[in-house]
Amino acid sequence: MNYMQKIKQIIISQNKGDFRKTLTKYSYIYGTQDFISFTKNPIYKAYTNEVKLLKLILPKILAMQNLNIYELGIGDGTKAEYLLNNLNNVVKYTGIDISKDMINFAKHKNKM
Amino acid sequence: MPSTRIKCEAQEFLNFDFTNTSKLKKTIKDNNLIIILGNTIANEMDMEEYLTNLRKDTPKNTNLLIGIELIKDASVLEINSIIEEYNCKENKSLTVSPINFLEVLPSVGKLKIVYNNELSRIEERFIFIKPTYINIENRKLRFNKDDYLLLSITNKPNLKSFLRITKNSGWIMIVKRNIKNQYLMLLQKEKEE
Repeated sequence: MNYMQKIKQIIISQNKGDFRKTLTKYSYIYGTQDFISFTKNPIYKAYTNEVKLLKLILPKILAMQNLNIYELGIGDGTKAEYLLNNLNNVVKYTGIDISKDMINFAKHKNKM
Repeated sequence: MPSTRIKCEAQEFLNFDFTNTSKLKKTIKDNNLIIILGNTIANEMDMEEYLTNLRKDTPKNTNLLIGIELIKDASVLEINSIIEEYNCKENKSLTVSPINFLEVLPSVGKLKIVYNNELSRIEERFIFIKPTYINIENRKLRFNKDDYLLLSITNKPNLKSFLRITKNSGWIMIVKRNIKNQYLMLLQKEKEE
């Protein structure tokens, strides 16, 4: 079943009053550019604060050895870029995202 | 210093509605750090179930780094401030993107962002402002006035609730840091029998 069919099935279920599934993940697939714009909007404070918080936790991550990092929901790759530039103990960094467009954006940004 | 191999791939790592980390289980190795930032975990319908399955699906020497926005007291002021973040045009456009193929929608409803106090979560609802029929898959779906499509949810637990979720799902806190309501937590797997 492709994504569009899944969206239709969720709408049919919700029409029957079943709200156990939402369309959240599909918004990242179909709204990649909007998501990037949203996270860059100054009103969305979580994004910039999280980068600052990564700096605070970095020493704990540096203390780990030969790390395999799996970033689930790599987004535009901003935080991957920060971590790769500041960690010297990473053997493999795997960035995963549900959106192919987002993966391509992250690859281009980080020259992966 | 090890040389770093970098890989990117599109994969359904979160099922947001029902946890599915089985693909991850097949590829994951030792000395892992799983990173879930940007409030991604908060979009999961059942965060405890997801984190429990993630623990079960990963080797024992796995750490987890989570970034999540929590709330303090769910006061009107605090909730309004969060809703204001979601009310920007970029987020509205993002939220409705999966239903843009339903061309009838702009004239029959409006996007409303609400806080569901009972479930401690932000809900983005497309609310019908008049009775509407939508044709999908050879079905004629009727939506009455005030019926809605639940497009998106973002859980907003408080710190105590989220710590209980991480503990119940078998993760031990190593360190947590926060700037206002935005938290970053480094956790490790509970020792298994």
